[in-house]
Amino acid sequence: MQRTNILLIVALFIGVAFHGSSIFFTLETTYDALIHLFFADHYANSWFEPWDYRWYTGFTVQAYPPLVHQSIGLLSHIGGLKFGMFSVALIAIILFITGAYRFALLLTGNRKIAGYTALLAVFSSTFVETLHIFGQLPSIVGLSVLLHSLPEIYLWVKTGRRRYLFTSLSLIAVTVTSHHVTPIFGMVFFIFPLLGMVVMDAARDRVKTSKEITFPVFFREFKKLFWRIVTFGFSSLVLIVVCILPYWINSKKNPITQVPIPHGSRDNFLEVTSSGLVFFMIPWGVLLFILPYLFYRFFSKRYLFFGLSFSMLTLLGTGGTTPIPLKLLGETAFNILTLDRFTLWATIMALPLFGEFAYRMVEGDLKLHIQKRFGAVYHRILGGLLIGGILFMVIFTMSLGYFRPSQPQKIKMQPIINFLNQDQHDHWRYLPLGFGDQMAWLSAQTKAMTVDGNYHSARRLPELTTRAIERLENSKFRGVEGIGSLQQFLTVPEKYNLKYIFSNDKFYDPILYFCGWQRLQQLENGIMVWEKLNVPPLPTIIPKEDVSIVLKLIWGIIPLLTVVIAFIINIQWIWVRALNSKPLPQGKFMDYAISYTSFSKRLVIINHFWALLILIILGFGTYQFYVKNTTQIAPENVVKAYYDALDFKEFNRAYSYLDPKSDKSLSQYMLEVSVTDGILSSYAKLDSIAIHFLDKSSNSAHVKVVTRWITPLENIYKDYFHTVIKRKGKWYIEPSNLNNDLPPDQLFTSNNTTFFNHGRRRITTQQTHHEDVLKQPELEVLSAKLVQYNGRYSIIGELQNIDNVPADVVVKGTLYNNQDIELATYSSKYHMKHKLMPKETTSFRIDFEGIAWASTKDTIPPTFDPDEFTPVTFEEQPTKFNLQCAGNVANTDLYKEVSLQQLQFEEHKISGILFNSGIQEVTIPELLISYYDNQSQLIWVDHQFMTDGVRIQRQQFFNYEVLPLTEVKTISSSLTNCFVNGLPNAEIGQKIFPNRNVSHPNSYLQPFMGDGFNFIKFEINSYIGNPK
Amino acid sequence: MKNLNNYITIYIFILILGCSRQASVKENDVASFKLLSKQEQYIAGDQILIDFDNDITLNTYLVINNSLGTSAIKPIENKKKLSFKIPDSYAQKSGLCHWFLVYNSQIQYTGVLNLVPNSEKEIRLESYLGPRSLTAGNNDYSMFVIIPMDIFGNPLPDNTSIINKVQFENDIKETALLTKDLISWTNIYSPKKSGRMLVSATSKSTDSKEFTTIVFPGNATNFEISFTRNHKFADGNQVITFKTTQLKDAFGNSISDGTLVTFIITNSKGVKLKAQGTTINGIAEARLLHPVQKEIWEVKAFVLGAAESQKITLAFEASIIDFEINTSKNGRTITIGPLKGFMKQLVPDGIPIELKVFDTNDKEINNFIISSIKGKGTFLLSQDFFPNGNYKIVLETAGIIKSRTVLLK
Repeated sequence: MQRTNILLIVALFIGVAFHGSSIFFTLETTYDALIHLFFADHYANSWFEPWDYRWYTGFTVQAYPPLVHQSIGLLSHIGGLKFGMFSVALIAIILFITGAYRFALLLTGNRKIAGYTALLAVFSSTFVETLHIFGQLPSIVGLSVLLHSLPEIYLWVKTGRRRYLFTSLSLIAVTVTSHHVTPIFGMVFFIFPLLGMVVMDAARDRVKTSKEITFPVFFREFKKLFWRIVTFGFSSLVLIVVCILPYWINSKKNPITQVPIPHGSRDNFLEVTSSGLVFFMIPWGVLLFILPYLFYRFFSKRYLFFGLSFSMLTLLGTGGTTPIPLKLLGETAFNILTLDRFTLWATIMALPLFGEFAYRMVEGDLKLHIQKRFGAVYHRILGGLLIGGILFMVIFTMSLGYFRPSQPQKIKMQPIINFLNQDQHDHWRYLPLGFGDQMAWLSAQTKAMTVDGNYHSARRLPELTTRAIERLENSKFRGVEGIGSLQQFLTVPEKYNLKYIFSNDKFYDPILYFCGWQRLQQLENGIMVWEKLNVPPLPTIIPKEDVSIVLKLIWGIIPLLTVVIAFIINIQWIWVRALNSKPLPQGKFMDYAISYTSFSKRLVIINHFWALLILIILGFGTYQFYVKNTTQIAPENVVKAYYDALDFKEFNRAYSYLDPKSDKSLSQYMLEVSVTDGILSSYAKLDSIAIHFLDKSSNSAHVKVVTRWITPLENIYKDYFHTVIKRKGKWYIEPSNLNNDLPPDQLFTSNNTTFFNHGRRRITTQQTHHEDVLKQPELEVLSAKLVQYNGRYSIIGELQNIDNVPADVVVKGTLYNNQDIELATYSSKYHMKHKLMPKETTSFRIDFEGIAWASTKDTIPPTFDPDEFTPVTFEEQPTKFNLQCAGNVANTDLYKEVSLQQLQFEEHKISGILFNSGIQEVTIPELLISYYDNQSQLIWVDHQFMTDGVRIQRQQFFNYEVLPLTEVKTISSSLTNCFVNGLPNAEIGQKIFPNRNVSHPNSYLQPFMGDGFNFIKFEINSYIGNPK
Repeated sequence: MKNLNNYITIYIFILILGCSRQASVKENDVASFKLLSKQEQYIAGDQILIDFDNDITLNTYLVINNSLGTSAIKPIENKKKLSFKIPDSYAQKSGLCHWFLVYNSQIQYTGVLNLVPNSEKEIRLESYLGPRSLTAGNNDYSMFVIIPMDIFGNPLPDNTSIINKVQFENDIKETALLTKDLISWTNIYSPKKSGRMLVSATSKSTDSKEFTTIVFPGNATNFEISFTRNHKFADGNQVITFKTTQLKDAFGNSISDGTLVTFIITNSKGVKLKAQGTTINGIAEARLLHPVQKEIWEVKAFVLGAAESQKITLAFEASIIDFEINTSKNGRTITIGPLKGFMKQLVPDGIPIELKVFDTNDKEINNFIISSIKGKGTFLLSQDFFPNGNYKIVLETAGIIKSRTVLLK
């Protein structure tokens, strides 16, 4: 019987207590854990059916090895999904600690060292990070089981006893079914060097000292062991293929042909220091200080192959810091793989040697050496520093999620789930916004479907795969590209049966409004529900990609079977032997333990220098960080710091950069801040900032600040002018003056017509009775044209709500070529007022963006920019168009009380003010500008979002630069193919509006002589951020 | 080993069993069937049995077919008779029901039943009214469709009489209708007045539910506008309200609430300003700020395409007639004001004041815009940006432009 190792017991005890209790506070906020939970929910509900409709308009779960998910799913039947997840996490923790122990025992042949390794494994920052920050359960399980399999593989190759072949293969099978990348790369980075070590050991047996192991000796032994190696290699290859056969078939069928999604592990860690911290500093942790020792030991003869593997892993883990990983892996692999896993493997591989180092430091020759050379106190200090370093890294890593949360606050899902279950709301797709990875948890709890998803390798819609966005839900973090992609989904939601949006981030509100969405209600958990009218419900039958029953059975049965078999073969065996009181055989690798007698003196010195170097680099980095963030040593710094503070809404900090001698008090400043509203102050993220000096003297400067803001609508470029002054060696900004315009009235009244639609008057779950359905408001298209401008095609026109009720309007345009082949379909985005009062008109413009075109591939540029259109290079040019307008009764967002005043014309510029005469604060006013030719015919529609809001009874200045329109080409102008609510436009107009006075529109036009146009018209669309 | 042999034997036995046909039927095509039940007319809902004088139940089916679909039914043995019971779903459906007696995949006998609706028992009315809103003025109409049915949902025969009732205000009209081709329908034309019309139908003491159609007023006709303002001065700080008379359609109905009325204001430069309001009880209001300088406004309002108002003209007199400029000794502090209004009062805060600074070559160096506080505005030309020397400054507020030369020291 093997001796019980007290250190291992301690490690397990502490590990389970520490990790086992903290996972309840960390695991749910990790990046991945909830995704695995969603998969687990899938298996819990339909074990054998791999198709899941809930994400990405349907995807197959065969895109990820199922073991961990199935285990959670199975356990969920006992105590729910989260119980399953935490149970599996506990198992993973135990597997990892014991795995590290066995791996160390294999490598060093010394139980004490293995015990130290197990203890260090508990506190290794790489494990802490993988579990508590990334939540990569399958990866941990896969790696741990791989570590368990290594001794068995060693014994098979060394002894050739068939039992070990079975044990090793059974464990490999478990690894394969829990994580796909681990066994493949594990083969290369763990098993190959292990095989090398076996051969080395065999060669060692042939000679007296390890020095005598020469290549011929090695090669001879290799030939002897060749067939065992081949047997193992071939069998495990078969296992890798067979155990998750459906996965491979699926990968072959749906190859990852996606635009790579940026991942921090591919960054240059020196440039993007946050990535460097998360993907390099934290995983390596204290190991960084003893790198020379690790390399020294790894490049000793026995570990030579591990040394090579370790060096390779270390190198690959540096991501984009050096160009080497890119060259080694090639473009494709580099962009698909997340390189942090290499660092993970490297640090895990280093654990046994770290254990060895600790052993030698605590009770071995290193202790003696240091004590003799530097004194006992120094040894204790050094030991204390090491332990302190380990503890610091653990606490730092654990607290990372607390101080820099990667996820939004925990959202109570029950109200959302109730909403989806009510009134057939789950007959449409939904989209969460600003949920972070919690969207997976929401999806796991409902049957309703979303167009989004959280496992990007399984995306299928070309709209998603052609973009480097991970999820629509967090598109704002992907900048222009993310927002552009989201806008495409919001503009044509009918295509995806997308009717409801749950918004947890008011950042997205403006784009929802301007794309024609409306607020439905705020749920009790604070989530705002937005809905879109005129979206058809999901069809009863949705297409899916079916796979053969054999594959379904393989997928459903084999993974858990591998666990059962592995359990029987490995554990039961030990028990049976233990019960029979037969001693378990000692691993052959125990023979190769070395005695630690003399620690290399030179290594001590080198390592000291190395540690010093690391400390210097760290110190330098900290200093740089400090200098960069010292805000007031130069005019640029103070301006940047000021805008940074504004961007993060830290107004106290922003105030501290204002000239202290100015008479603006903090309370006055805060008051001024609180009354500013608008897209820039409420919905924008500062993207880039450049500072130009207009004048500069030693104590003051005039600067022009050129800023670019990312907003949900479009990029906004805005220039600011500031005076900065130096006082007592520090630079400050002169506060700018607030417009101190006083509104005329203290109290005033406003009368308005408001509308309410009951929806369903009868409380019934039946199909809505037709008496509850309102007639669709009648619209009339007054003009419509297909035009070409700057190489892109647009349909422009004007339409009027000719009904007696307010209408929500959707305008969908389709382009055809001369052969009547459909080329593109798209809806009007924000170039129109989506809500029209009775008799109100709006100009509209439909731009045909990327996904609109029938052949998406041709038209999407490699780097997508919503502001930038690809000129369409079709052989078949669009020559005709079809316009489908649909009205639905609207009862919200009908604010029309903004007036246009004090217009002034210059040569290419129009300035004026908007006056808000009503009682709602307009957060984002949009100007729609229509251009007309000398015949008063519409030729173009433009828009401008104003950067500041218009408060009640106040004015807001605007400037608009008119466009040169000589290039606009009218391709087709006709009302014949215009339809309203499915009926021909002309008939409706004749019937409902028979005696139209056609001269009226002309009275609205401003004469303005511009390039290619003669008249101009302004319309105002007001977004109200907080309706009262 | 013995066990294994047993298993093999059993297996082979099962295999052979599995391969054999279920039961072989003797081909007996010469079976003769004679129809016993001669009745062909039934009332929907009756129990219908079709009997034959044969008792071969094996491979004998009655295939029935009506407008609902086709089914094959098995016989019930009934004292040496072959008896088929037509299922309720077929027996309750009026119209023709064809049947075919099939034996060994051969049609042996065919027939047809004629089922008539059951109008004896209570009847139902399936009715539909649409659209649910109309425009006043005898032109627009809703169509009211009524289908009288028996309790099984079979439409009653033609010429079933129906009374259609339409209520509008105090008036209830009744019209008699007859069904034709299974349905009856009528067009209900909108009255000239707007309001709410209730529609129902009665047939054979059965009443339909109540239907509503809203009669919306027609398009607006021309109207008049007026304005109210506190005073006639262009102080940029008072609200002027434009108001329409009650907008009515051609029949005198006040137009729908919420109708958008656009006021187009043409100022003395020919620039068009815009304000809009929605109607309540036919009256729309829109508000604008007074201009900041002397102006003449021409105002006209529109309901686009439908109606317009007369044109009204209103003038604003200048509120601020003049202002003073004071410069400090070194010329670097420039104070404007006090700005005084039409009663010599200090103007309310927020009047924009613009300063443009030109160098001696008339090149614009800088411009500043501030708003007045307590009637005054102060500009500071700092030495850092304006070295000592002569400058031309141009000040503009309330449409008054003043310029002078200053010497900065």
